[in-house]
Amino acid sequence: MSFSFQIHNNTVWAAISGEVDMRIAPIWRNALDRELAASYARNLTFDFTEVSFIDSSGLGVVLGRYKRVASRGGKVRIIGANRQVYKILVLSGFAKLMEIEPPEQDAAGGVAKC
Amino acid sequence: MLNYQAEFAERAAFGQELNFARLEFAARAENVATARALVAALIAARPEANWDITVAALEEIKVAVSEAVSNAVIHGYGEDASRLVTLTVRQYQFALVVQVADEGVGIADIAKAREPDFTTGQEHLGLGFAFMESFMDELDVQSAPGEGTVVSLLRLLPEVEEAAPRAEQL
Repeated sequence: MSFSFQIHNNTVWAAISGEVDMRIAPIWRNALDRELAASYARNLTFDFTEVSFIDSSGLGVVLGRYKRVASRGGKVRIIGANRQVYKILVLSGFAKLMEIEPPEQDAAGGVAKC
Repeated sequence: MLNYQAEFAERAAFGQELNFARLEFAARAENVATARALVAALIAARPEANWDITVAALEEIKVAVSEAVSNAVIHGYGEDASRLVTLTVRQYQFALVVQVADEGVGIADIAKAREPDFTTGQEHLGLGFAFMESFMDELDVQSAPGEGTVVSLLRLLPEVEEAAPRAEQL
């Protein structure tokens, strides 16, 4: 698992890979907070393209950062989530708070069921 | 409490017991993945006899196991790595039962602990039990303050019920 940040178009792009659980959550949270504090960028985009698993520990980090960014008038987006990750994001009610890119259609042409 | 076995309403539908595994591990963050991996490996080792579960079902089971073990490590033991969490997996023809036991602080009010809570500590979300309930067919929680907690999770398998994702909006 690894994570990275880029700043582009007034947005912090936060990519993370692998399994986002309580092992990585506190480390990632601290790094995100440092990045957000150091940057003047208003918005935050999570790139979950390489995320294979997420549970409530990982979601807690996302929600905490959402509160911080939203309180400053910024927008939070999540892109690249696979079907399972997308499903748990929706189940957690995150779709009401932030824009979440739906998973791509699979090879058979089916649409992700959530 | 280790030998406690939850009384599930669907017990009659489990069929024959196929496999049993028990693992003790230190209450460390990295062992949450260890627990998920063991459960996934046991499921993968049974491709025959109705264990052809979907990727979605496997992922749901992994989330539920992750939540139960995270609770034991964080809440049960406060991440005291000298303490042990016990994971017990029973595979049946038509069911999977996963038990996560700790001998930590215990839960005084189980009903309250199981309510979805979006407010306590923004970092752990308070959705652990909600995910366990959403992704499994039955959830049993036994706990006593100062004695520990045993969380038992039941997932029925395709022959009994379609292995469609069962999550609904919380």
